[in-house]
Amino acid sequence: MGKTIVRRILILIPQIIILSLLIFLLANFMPGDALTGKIDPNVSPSRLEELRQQWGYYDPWYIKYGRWVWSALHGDLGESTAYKLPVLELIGQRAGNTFWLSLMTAVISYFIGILLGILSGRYQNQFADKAIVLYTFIALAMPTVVFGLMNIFLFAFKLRWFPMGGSVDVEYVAGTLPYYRDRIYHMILPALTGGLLYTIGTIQFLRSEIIDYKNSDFVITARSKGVPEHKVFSRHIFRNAVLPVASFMGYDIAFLLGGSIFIEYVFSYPGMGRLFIESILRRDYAVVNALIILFAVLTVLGTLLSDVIMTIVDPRIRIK
Amino acid sequence: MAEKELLRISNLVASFSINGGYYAAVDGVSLQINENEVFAIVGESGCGKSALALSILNLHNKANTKIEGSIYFKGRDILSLGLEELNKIRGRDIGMIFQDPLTALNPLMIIGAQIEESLFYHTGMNIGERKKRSLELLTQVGIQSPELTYHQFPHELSGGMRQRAMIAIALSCKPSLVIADEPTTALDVTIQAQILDLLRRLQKEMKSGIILITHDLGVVAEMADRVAVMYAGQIVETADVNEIFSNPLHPYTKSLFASMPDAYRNARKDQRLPVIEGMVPSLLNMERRGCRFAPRIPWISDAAHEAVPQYHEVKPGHLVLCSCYKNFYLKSIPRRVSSSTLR
Amino acid sequence: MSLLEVENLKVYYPIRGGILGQVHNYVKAVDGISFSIEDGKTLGLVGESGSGKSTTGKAVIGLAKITAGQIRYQGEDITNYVGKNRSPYRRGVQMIFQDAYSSLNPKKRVIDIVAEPIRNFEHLTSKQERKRVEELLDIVGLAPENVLKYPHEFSGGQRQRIGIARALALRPKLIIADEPVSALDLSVQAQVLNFMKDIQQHFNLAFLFISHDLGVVEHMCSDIAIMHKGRFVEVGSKNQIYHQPLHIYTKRLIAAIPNKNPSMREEMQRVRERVAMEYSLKRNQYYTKENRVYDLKKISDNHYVALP
Repeated sequence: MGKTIVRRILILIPQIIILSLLIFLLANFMPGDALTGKIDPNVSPSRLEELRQQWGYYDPWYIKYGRWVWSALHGDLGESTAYKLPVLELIGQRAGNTFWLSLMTAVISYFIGILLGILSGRYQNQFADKAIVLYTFIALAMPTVVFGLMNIFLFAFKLRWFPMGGSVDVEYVAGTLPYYRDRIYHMILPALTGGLLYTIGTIQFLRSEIIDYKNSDFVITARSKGVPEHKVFSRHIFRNAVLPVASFMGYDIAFLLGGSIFIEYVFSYPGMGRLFIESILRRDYAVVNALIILFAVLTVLGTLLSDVIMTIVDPRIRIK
Repeated sequence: MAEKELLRISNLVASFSINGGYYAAVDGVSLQINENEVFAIVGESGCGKSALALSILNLHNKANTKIEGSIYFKGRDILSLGLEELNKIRGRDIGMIFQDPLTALNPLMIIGAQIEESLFYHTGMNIGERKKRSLELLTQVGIQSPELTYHQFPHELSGGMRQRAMIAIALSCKPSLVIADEPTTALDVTIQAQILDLLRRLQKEMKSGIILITHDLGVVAEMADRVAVMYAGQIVETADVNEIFSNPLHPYTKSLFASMPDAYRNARKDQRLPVIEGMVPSLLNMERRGCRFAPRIPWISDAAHEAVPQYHEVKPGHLVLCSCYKNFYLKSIPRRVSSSTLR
Repeated sequence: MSLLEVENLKVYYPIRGGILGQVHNYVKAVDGISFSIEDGKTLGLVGESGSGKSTTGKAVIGLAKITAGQIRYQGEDITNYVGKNRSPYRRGVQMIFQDAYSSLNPKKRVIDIVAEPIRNFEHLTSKQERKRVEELLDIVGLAPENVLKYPHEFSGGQRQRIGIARALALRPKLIIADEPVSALDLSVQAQVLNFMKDIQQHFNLAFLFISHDLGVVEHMCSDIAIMHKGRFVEVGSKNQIYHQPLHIYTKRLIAAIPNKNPSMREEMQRVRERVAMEYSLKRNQYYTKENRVYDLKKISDNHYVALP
């Protein structure tokens, strides 16, 4: 198993190199440059030209790419034009928020997904199952933004159960218990919104797996041994059905970390996703590039994580 | 012979729901299996033999199956039992062996745990005793290194080893009846011979009854004491094994036995196998009135078949369905390729 | 000159391992076998799963990469052209598969399935093509009206006939039949076997008949090669293989065939015990130290056994 993981990590290297190159080239061909927003309008065009020369604007792409990689490896991903902060520092501020929100969303999503998936698969074609299937169809068709706004309107604006947005009220001092409590309080509504929507994949997957296994050969064997039905379900059906769900966990986590963009935006939650949208709107390309690379690396790491989970939980893969 | 009855099936009908209607895959089967005997049920795919096997322990998917009739095991009607009572019989009094040991074993559980499961529910053994018994069973079914196999997953074993493990599971509580559904079909011939040998040896040791479901007449000839031939959901002929091979009477039995290439029967040069015309009727468009085999023997006049076919006891223990057997003869089949005109 | 001569055929598959996936070793699926097939004759290739019999069939028709060896077709060395499309070899050698269902494209009509090889080699108008396909269906005993149906509308035996019609479309000289009847029921199996014999006579076809079923092979083949661990352990006439087997593996295989005569039960058991005893005592005499099958030795006319 160790070998498999080492091999997978080695494959990561070329993947990330190609990814970064692609993203760099795309950014390179975007209109405008770093000077566009940075410079005093009174500076003469000839001076600008000089600066461009000096900073290597006219160098061929591979030299620029090399320079960029070199500085990136030294932790320098450029500076945000909007915040006047190093990109790394800016992302660092936001990454924690996104991480905790994603974690909470994932926990809610898996909790609901596994619960409803089991119910639905076990009582196939009965009322509970039909209701759950209906729910998945509605959730599938529901845009995140619309659902988020609906929740804000209902739970934050009308019922005033939850705050309308943000991550923490300014009155709390960082590090104190009430501060963390308030942060969690701010996360509940966005996490529920995301969890309720992103859970449908788990529900549908688990449901169909359970239905497939319900009358599979080894389950019939278990019944022929006189194993009580609830044990047949927990030991034989569920354990096999949940495997592929577990293996998707890595992808899911990567998706959540990069994909709560809309949730964060609707709930004005100061995470990487909102930063991403804001930076695009402000043409803050250094931040956009860094975030895209980060999301891409997360996705690649997510697939790696999925593979690792699979080799751990499935004995048939463990051997190879 | 004073044979004690072990299982009696009477007028069993097992129907599957397809597109809203129920279609009987097993259509009025009555059988009696005695203690310490190997009873073979032979037929081609779709004849209902596997559906019959699953009905005995009521293992069909309840959502789309309807079972009628009765199955008496040691005097109790299995079909009338609640699930809890039934679970006491499953695995303890009646064990099952399935065709494909790879899919019939849970891929995520080690062999040992799968054997111990039935011990756990049917015996009062503690962990240590269960493990000891499992290793004993693995040794008994001829596994060389039981301790190793105990800790292995199904995919780590060869096909023959898996089927041995399956047999260990079925026999773990010393059942008085074992239902073996095509136990050697997925195996190579040399492995098949070993597994049949093992089954025969264990059957002698444990004196249990075996219901052997198979399509392979060779396996029947090697194993069975009595044989039932199934066609289109019905048993068309039952007899002692020697009787049925030497004196098959029902047109279907006769043609089936004749159409089998036999490595031991010295063949003439350019021998042609007698064939059965047409094909096995499917569940949905099966003619359910009169003799079900009649459409495939069109050269026998309609008058020879009974309107409502009955069993005829031609010799003690030899039953044939429908009286058309009296007029049946094997027809030689003409060559298919004539002087066809292919350039 | 034989129709097909195969000499010292080897098909090795690399086993990769380690972090960079370097080749560690090889699975010797086929490890140096030679045989020839005459016009209009059938060679039976028998073995258990993993013996390399199917790989042999695939290598001969170009579906498995040949590691070493030579294939001659009508005297001509075509080893390097086996996988090439549109060669006369590809025209003269066709294949039928075990599972007629998965070897027929479910989205294609019978006419497209059967006419596919014709389209690759000949340019016919659609009318001529239709006529040809209808003739082929007639030969395999299917009504010509079936040309527009899809594979799922047929039973297992009928699908195997469609597969045979496709194989016959180019009037091949040799058909490689890989377990052609093992997926079929007994009564249907008999229909297909008879029919294969009929077309063999009619078209003077040669068969390479690959099977694990010794009963079927006995019925179909005059010459038989027994394969084990990628090599031939014994080659001979039907009579020699079934009644005077000399290699311990052949003996075991023959003894394992269930006897369809219940009164022979005890005797068969004794035979099997004797063979099992012989196998456990003398096994080493039949395999090299590396557990490899020896090269074939000529015992008598046409009877070859792998002995030291």
